[in-house]
Amino acid sequence: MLNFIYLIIFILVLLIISFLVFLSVFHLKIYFNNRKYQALKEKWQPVLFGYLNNEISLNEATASFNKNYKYTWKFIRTYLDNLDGKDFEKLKNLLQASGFIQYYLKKLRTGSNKDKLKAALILGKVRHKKALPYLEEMLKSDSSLKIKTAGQAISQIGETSLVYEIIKAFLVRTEITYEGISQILILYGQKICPKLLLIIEDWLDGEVDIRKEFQTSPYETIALFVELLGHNKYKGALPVLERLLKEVDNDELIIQIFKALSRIKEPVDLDLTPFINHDNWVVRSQTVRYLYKNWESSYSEQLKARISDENWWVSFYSGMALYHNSFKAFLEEVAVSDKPGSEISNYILEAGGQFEHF
Amino acid sequence: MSDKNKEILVVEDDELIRGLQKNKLEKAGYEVDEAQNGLEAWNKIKDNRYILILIDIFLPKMDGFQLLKNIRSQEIPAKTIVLSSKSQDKYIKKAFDLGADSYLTKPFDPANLIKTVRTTLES
Repeated sequence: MLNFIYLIIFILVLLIISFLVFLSVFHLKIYFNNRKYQALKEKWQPVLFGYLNNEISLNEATASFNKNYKYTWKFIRTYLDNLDGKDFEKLKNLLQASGFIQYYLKKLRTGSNKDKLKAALILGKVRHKKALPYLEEMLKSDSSLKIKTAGQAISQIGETSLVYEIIKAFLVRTEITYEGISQILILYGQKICPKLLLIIEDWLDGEVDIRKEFQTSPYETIALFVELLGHNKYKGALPVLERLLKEVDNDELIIQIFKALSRIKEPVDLDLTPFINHDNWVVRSQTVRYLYKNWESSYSEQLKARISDENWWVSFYSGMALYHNSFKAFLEEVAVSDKPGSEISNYILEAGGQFEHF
Repeated sequence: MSDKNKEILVVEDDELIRGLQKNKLEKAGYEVDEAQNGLEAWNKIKDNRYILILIDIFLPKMDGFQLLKNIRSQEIPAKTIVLSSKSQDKYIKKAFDLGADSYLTKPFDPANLIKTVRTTLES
């Protein structure tokens, strides 16, 4: 019995020692990796700055960066994220000359799944066009993570010929939310807008069946496109947004259109009366908010009426639009009256029309 | 050299980017001091006379907005340029409301950074 207890104790001690050895080795590995990286960083930083400032040639800079691409990536990714213009291009040239880009291009082609994901992430950040055929292939995968990573990399590279394929892959074969898709497609910048307009126009003309193609609600999909047009403040979207307002009767989409119009800041050539008086208060408030940001004097009487709207936001944006467009006296008049808009008029007048978040 | 002579203060929590900004500004002929968080920056601002402060919005300990508020409430006579990522452009208005003189988005072109510093100092 005693021997058995000793045996158990011995095994337990052995397990604890093994665990401690494993932990120590793990920490030592991290420590030495960090030390190595710090040493490389100290060496590379002046070389990189000298190269970016044209004091060191490409050949000299390349010679300093060794073939340990894991450390190169750790060092360079912050610069790739934060630099633009000539310095970004120089950085790309350096990565090309040092073999870094070719190394990850090979990983993207022939590496393991993990390697491919990392390579896609890196080549997207470097905006390397030669990665596109492999990223397009990756987009056809069944793995949500692969599709997302490939879509993100293509968006960063800015290849607009694949916009349709990315949207389709995201909507049909992943669980990414509309917000998530928007965050990725934003990486395209304004470049994506003409493509989105084409899809919207095709949908309006009945040439694309979004429900069938993307297996999702057409209104939500078009609302996503409208949000991106607004985010990019794309003035060229105006005629299509006007057409949508004329031809589509969907509250969520109308709301998104007025949000986009508020950002684009261009006057719409359309009678806004039905939207100012819409049954849905969110439609009313977003229309009035648009008029606050894009004043049109022809609506002043309607806005005066909306200051007594039953909804606080509609009333607030009507008041703000009037206050900032030479109708302060009207608010002062309402403020001292017993009319429904007196409370909001007082609120706006007291703040001098200045509210941080509106 | 005493800190009293520093011209530009770079406030950025990322060491690599702070180093790059400092290097680019020094190459353009400015004397540059640096701080890695808002609190360190505020302590330096109280003790030194900078002509310009380059502020990242998201900083540890004290964010860029609070730093701007402090600078303006204490009437520190330094110009300020705020730096933030493109996706956070909604903060531009807030930065200007708090008294920022100029704004730059990340990713940034260092040539544009120098140009903005020059025009801000001339304005």
